[in-house]
Amino acid sequence: MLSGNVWQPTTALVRAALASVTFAVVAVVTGRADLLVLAVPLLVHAVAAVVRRPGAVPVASSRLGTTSVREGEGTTLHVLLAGAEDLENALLALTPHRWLATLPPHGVVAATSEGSDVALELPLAPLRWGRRRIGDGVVAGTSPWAGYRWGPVPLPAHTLTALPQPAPYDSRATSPHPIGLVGTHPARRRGDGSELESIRPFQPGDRLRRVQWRVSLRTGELHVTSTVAEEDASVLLLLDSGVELGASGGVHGESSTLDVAVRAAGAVAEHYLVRGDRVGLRVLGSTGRNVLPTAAGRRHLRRVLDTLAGVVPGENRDLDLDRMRFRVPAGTIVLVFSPMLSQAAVVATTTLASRGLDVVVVDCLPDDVRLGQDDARTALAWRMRRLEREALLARVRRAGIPVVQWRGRGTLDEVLRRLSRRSTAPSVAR
Amino acid sequence: MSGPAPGVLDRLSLASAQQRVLRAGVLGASLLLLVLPVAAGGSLTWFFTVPALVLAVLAALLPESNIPLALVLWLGVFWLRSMPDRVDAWTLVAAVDLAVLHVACTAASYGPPGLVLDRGLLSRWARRLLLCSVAAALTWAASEVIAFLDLPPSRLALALALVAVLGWAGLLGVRLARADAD
Repeated sequence: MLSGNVWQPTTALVRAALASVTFAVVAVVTGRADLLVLAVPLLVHAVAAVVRRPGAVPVASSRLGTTSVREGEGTTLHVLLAGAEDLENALLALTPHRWLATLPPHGVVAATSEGSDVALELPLAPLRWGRRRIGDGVVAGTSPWAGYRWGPVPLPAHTLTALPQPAPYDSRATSPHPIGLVGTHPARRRGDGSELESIRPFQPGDRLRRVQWRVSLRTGELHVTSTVAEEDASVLLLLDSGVELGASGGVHGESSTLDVAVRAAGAVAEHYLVRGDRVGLRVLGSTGRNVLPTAAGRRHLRRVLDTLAGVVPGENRDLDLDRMRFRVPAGTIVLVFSPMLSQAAVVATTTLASRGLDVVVVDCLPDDVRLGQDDARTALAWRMRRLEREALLARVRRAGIPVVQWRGRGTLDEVLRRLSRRSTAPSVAR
Repeated sequence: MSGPAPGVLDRLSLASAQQRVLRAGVLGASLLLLVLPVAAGGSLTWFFTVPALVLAVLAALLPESNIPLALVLWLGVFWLRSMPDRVDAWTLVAAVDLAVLHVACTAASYGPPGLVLDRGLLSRWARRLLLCSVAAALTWAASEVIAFLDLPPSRLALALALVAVLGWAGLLGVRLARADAD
């Protein structure tokens, strides 16, 4: 909360007072009555403005309608001027920020005072995911007849968390290793599920409602329908924030590699958590809160999106992978969201795969990534970088880790089905 | 962009349509006052006209500064030098025009160039402009009556008239301010 400074005469009052007095004096000195006529409107304005001289100083306070929104969605900055009896017009001018859209676009709104308090409202929307300090600007007021001005008084900034807008994603593939108690993925063991496993002879303990009467009548022996159990899956999202390539155009523009990774991770997390599965998150290259243990539920989805919103590119380039403990339970699918441009991401991926976990690399390098500068030197450097990337990807594939490019819906279907087939196939030795 | 001139041009490009109209009003009112002596049979002097034009352009670009004050004072000097010593209908037109210029500058200086003032405030200012113009018209009518009486020229009479006019205008201002508050 801020209390404003003082009321000061406006240039309009100074102009009206000085010009009218000067004209009147010159009219007397030169004996020109016409100058007196010219002076009268200005004099009336000056007197009216001085008579309505304000006394009380307003107190300004501001708040955001909501402190957390999805990128591209809007909220409102509310500014209240209390004790504004002497105010005729109030003005709010917001400091422009790169990833912030306001309505009107220049971020300046005014309101005419109707009572003792004046409320100013400015709709705004973050254009990119992230945690930002916004809402700073100035507020000012003018007394009746524009005689005196209060302010401009600075307004404090507020933290707005712009949660990533999940990319369109859906998957029909089941988890290769469902390991929980209840869920939607067909497990390897028999149980009370909805997916048919087999029709087999009746055994003591089988429920009567499972009796398959047609087969029993045909064979003359009691048969029952057996189903597979349905369990939930555990998914670990590993996000590589060490490198960001490409210029981000916000939620409605082009995407950088980190934009793709964050939005894809958010979409996958939402998909699994809504279905009742458990999801964990690990951010590679973050110094802040970079580990979110595996959990389920909609509140956990909020935690995942909140952690994703806090991702800062290239925050920690000196990762010590030897000291890193992933603590991944057996049966967890690890989805690595990375443009695969750093050694650290490759080492983390191969380390997890060597522990027997199902690891899938989701390539987050868009086909049309824009590097900003189109000079020959940048193009050559980028070509060399792409060759390095191809070598890293080849290394990952040699380790038996599937790599899929993020393309939204169905990105993981094929690779998850392949992993399911691999896990159910009889294996002799490894 | 940096420096005062590009800054001013930036502000102009960012200005809302309403602000552009107000600034055009400042320029238009200044130009009207500059051509009034031609219509009223007075004489134009480049020495007074050119600086007035420059000030008018600057005042339209920077209405929140003290340039409009310099413009109003210079226009007063211009009027004094260009027009003969008489009170006629052109004097009333000039007074209303000067009030329009002053109010346009005032409305344009409420905030940054992108600001759009609400209709309520604009209509309030239109009402105020009308009241100020009525006050000028009453003063002009009083001077016409005195001119009709053809009294001998007297500095004392003019000073007394000045006191009367100033007192009346002050009283009117107080009444208007209170009426506005109610």
